[in-house]
This record gives sequence, C-alpha cells and structure tokens, in this order.
Amino acid sequence: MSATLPPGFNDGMARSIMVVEDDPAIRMVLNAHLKDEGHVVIECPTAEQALVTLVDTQPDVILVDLRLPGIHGLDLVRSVRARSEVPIIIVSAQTDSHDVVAGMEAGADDYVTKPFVAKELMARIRRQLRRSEPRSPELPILQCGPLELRPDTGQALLNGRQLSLSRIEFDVLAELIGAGGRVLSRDELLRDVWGYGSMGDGRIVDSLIYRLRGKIEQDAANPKLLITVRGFGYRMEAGE
Amino acid sequence: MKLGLRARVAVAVALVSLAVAGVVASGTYVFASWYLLDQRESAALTRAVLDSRAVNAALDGGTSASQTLELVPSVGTSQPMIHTSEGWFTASVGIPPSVFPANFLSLAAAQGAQQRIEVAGDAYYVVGVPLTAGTYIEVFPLRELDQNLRLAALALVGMSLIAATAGAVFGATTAGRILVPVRKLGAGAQRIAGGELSARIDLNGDPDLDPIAGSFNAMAEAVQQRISRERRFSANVSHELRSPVTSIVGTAEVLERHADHLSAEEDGPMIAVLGQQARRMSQTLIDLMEISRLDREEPLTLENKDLTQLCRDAAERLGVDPALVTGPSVRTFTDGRRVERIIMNLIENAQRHGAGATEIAVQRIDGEVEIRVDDAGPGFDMADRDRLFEPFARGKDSEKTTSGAGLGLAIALEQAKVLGGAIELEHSPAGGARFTVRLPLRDTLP
Repeated sequence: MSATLPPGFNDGMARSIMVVEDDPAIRMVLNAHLKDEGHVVIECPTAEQALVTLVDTQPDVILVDLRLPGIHGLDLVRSVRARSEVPIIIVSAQTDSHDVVAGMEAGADDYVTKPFVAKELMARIRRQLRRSEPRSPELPILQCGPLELRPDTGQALLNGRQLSLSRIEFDVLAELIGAGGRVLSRDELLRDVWGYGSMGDGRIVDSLIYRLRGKIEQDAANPKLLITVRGFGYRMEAGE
Repeated sequence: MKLGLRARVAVAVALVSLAVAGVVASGTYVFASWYLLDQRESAALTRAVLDSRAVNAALDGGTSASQTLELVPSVGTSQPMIHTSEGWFTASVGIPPSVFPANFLSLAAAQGAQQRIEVAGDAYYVVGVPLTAGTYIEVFPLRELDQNLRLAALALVGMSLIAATAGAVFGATTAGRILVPVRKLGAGAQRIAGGELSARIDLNGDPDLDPIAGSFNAMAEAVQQRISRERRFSANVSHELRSPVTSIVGTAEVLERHADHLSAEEDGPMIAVLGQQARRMSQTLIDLMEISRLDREEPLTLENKDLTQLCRDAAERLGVDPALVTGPSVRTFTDGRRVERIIMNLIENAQRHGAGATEIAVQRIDGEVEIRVDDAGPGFDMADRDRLFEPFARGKDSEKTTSGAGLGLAIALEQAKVLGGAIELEHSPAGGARFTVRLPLRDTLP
C-alpha cells in the first residue's frame, strides 16, 4: 500500500472498489491506481462474475465497463441499482450522447470516458465515496413547495409521501433547493455534486435531471418544480 | 442564362404549334384567295360577255356609244368602256385606258382578253370582248375581295398566334406535370443531402414513374446502409484505439509515479503491459491502414509467383516452421503482397486463437490453387462462422489483450475477393479450424 494519500482523505477504513472490465490491461491499470490510492480492488472480468461476487461482498463503489462479453454493462448497472444504493461509475470507450444518457438512465451515478485521466477518475471515485459516508446529523431541513428533504436522515418527502431517491439524486435536489430558486448551471452542479474541476460532461447532469423529474414531477414532460432555464441551467420553482 | 427544362418545353411546343398553325393558315389563305379570285373572275367574265352582247346589239341597232353605256346593267359596280374607231367611251371616270397593258386592246379586239392589273395599289380585273365594230371593255374592281382576303389573313395570323400561346401553356403544364416526379426526386435527394438518410419517395402505381422512384429508393437504401456500416466501423475503430490508449496512458501514469521506487514485482507487469498495448495499437493501426488501402481499390500488381514458396516465407516471417508448408510448387500470376497478407493473417489467427498452425497445404485443383491453413485449437461454433469474417469480430472466448482488433480475417477475406478468390472456414480434422483459401490460377497476364 502506497503512502501517497491525498490530504483530507479519510483512510480510517479500507474502501473496496469493484472493477468490472474485460480488458486485462485496463483492469491492471485501474488496479494499480486504486491501490496507490489505498483502496482494496475487487476485479471482475465479466458482469456474471460481478453479480456472483456481489452476493456476499459490498463494495463502496463499482466501476463498470459497458461493452462486456455476455451480460452487457448497462444490464449490470440496472440489476445492481435495483437492489442497492452503491455508487456506480461507468468507465466506457463509448462516448456518444445516447450511451451516456442510457448509462445514467440505467442508474449510474457518473460516466467517465476512456481514455481517462487517472487523477480525474480517482477524484470521481473519492467524491462518490464521500456519498456513502454516514450523513451529518446537524444539517437543516430543506423545503421547496411540496418537496421536503431531511439531509440528517436522507429522507425525501413529496406532499408528505416518502420518495425513493438515490444518494446522488438526493444531493442534486438538495443543491438546487439550497440555491433558493437561483439558476444553477450544469458546470456548477458538476463541480458541487460530482466534484468535477473543468472537464465535466453536461449530459450527465441532464440525464440525472430527467431521472429526477420522473420521480418528483406529476408530468415529467411538463415540469412545474424542476425548471430548465434554456442556455443557463436548472432551478427549483417553489410555486405559490 | 439557360432556360429551365419547363420553359424550353413550353417554347418548343409553342414553336411547333406556331409552325403547324402557320402552314395550315398559309395553305388556307392560298387556297381561299385562289378560289375566291377564280370565282370572282369567272363571274366577271360571264358578266362582261353578257354585257358585251347587250352593247353589241345596241350599237348594231344604231344607239350611240355613250348612250349604249347607260344600258349596261352593272354600271356602278364595274366600269364599262367601249372603244370604237371614234375613240374611247366610258360611263364613269375611273380607270383610264392608258393603264391597260400595251397589246391588251389589240388582243381583246381580235379574240377577247382578260387581265388582272394594279392601279394605285388596287387590283382590277379587265375583260375585253370584240364587238362588231370596236371592243367592249369592262373593268371590275377587286378591292373588296382584296379587303376580305386581308381580313382573312389577319384572322389566320391571329389564330396562329393563339395556337402558339395555347401550345406554350400546354407545353408548360405538361412539362410541369412530367416534372412532378423529377421534383419529388429532387426533394428526396435534398432531404438525403440534408442528412435525413431514411428519406424515400412514395411509389404510386404509375408504371412509368415507379421504376425511377424505385431506383432512387434503392440508391438511398444503399447509401444509408453504407453510411451506417461506416459509422459502425468508425465507432469500432474509436473503441479499439481507446482501449490500448487507456492502458498505455494509465500504465505510464503509474510508472511515472513509481519512478523513484520502481519494483520489479509491482511494476514489471506494468512495463510488460505497456509494451504489449503499444504493439496492439500499432497492429490495429497497420490493419486499419490496410483496410483503407482496400477501400481505395488500388490496382493489382500481378507477377509470376511461386505460392508455395510465398507461404514458406510468410511462415518464416512469423516464426513458424516453414516445413509446415506442404505441397508442390504452384506458379501463377498474382499479387504477391496480397497473398502474403492473407497467409500471414491466417497464420496469426491460428497463433492467437488456435494454438498455432499445424499444417499449411498448397495444392492445385481444377484451374485453382487451394491453400489450407489448419490449427488444432478449440475450434469455433458453426453459428459464428460468417460473423468471424466481419471487422472487429472476435471469438467469444478470446482474451482482449492477446487478440488483435479482430480485423485480420476481414482483411484476409477482402484481399482474397480482390484477387478473384474466396476463403472458407470449416472444422479441421484435429477439431480446430481449417481456413481454405481458393485463388484463380493464371498462366499468363490477363
């Protein structure tokens, strides 16, 4: 284990990262970088093997390649998301918009394209790891129209009814409500929620907003709460 | 400026209409004028003869010439004149006898004569009939007839112009209607040019137009398929290059970080991966260049080659025992570089996926040469047989690192086709794969 941990990183407990990647060279590269970061790496060359491993292992973050032999990466993401909130980062050579959108739709939290810059990818992983840390108890309740977020318990309520939001969905919504109706640009959201410096991919934000609308809007095609401000970004509408 | 097709058709039809109308109109005019003049002249002649008889009778009866003229019934519409030894007598002042042609009077006096003359722009018909003593002359004005004919001519010219205009309109609308499918084709082509590759033209059951629309649609279909194939290909290219670049950049980053404390145990495999991935990428690039050469359809360079020797050379270059190549020497005019490429790709395929080639057999069969490359590897699924020759295809169990980009068999097949041959895949007797290349034998240059 290397001693080059970044400052501020909580290495109090070993974090395990699952790498689902069929190319052994890339698996080896990821393994080396993750080990240098102080993580434990679980390597899976196929989605099938990942599903078997996940039965009795709980990784803190899963990295998934899309073009896998056998079960496709997207199906793996869907199947993991169906039963777990574990952060999933897609690491794929596919860069088309529809691949990014499909990946986020399937339930991924982030989408990194190959060839990646290892430092960037490690930063993405770090940000996702922070999401799986316990919530701080003293955060105030956020409210916007019929929506209520309780950051201390991670509960989200719509008209008093419990909403099922993933951690990243919760964080995006909290960020937007916290802005108090101010427009947040894609870059601001990428920086504050995903931890991107400058090279963020706005399509990730758009896909997540689309996913959120499906959960909080009565008619996702005609949003009343989470409004798109064309050319600027997104904002919350508190209503009357 | 060049006129459009529609305008040109309109002008052409107008000109044809005008020409036809002109010919018909001129014909009508010529016939009508000839007929009317003839009618008029024969009527005038009859009249003059009848009048001359009355005049002759009166003169013979002793009536004076000037009095006799009063008796001519047609006074008013024609001008009767009598010429006797005493000179000219006429009932009205009109045409003077001086305008008659020189010998007219003598001819008329002798045997009678008729003549058409023109005086001050007006036409006249002059009839001369001999009398017992003298000559009776009657002058009929043809002006009225002339006027009628001029009116008719005017009407005919007008009709011709109307016919030409109608022709132009007819031409323009017909051309317009004929051009509807051409416009549809144009609109379809424009949509395709604008990127809407799925644009097609409706067939509407017209036996003349549907074949055009059908060909257009077939062309559009071919273009769409070609473009989507090329898109898939370039997506694959991008994917195939991204993977080695990812591992090369990634290993380089790790090694840079470890630079001051490199360990053989930890970093040795990384260095191996670096080299392996760099070679994989360079092989992919070489294959891609080969494919782009194939796409450029470079001409064949035919030379007299010994194919068996060529196989031995290819084996040797790949570190394979040339003794695996069996069979007699087979000489043919062929493109040596391409054949070598086929054989090398098949041997490499056997090395990667079939535990190495077990035999490379060359033999002559019915005017063809057959080169068989056998391996004793795990074989393949018959269901995958055709797919394995597609670019970027891989057997289901192949490891990404050791295999190439999946272009080798695709290139081999394409080269074989360019040479006029083919490649077949079957199971080898040892349970592996058997690739059979068939190439035409050429004893002379084509």
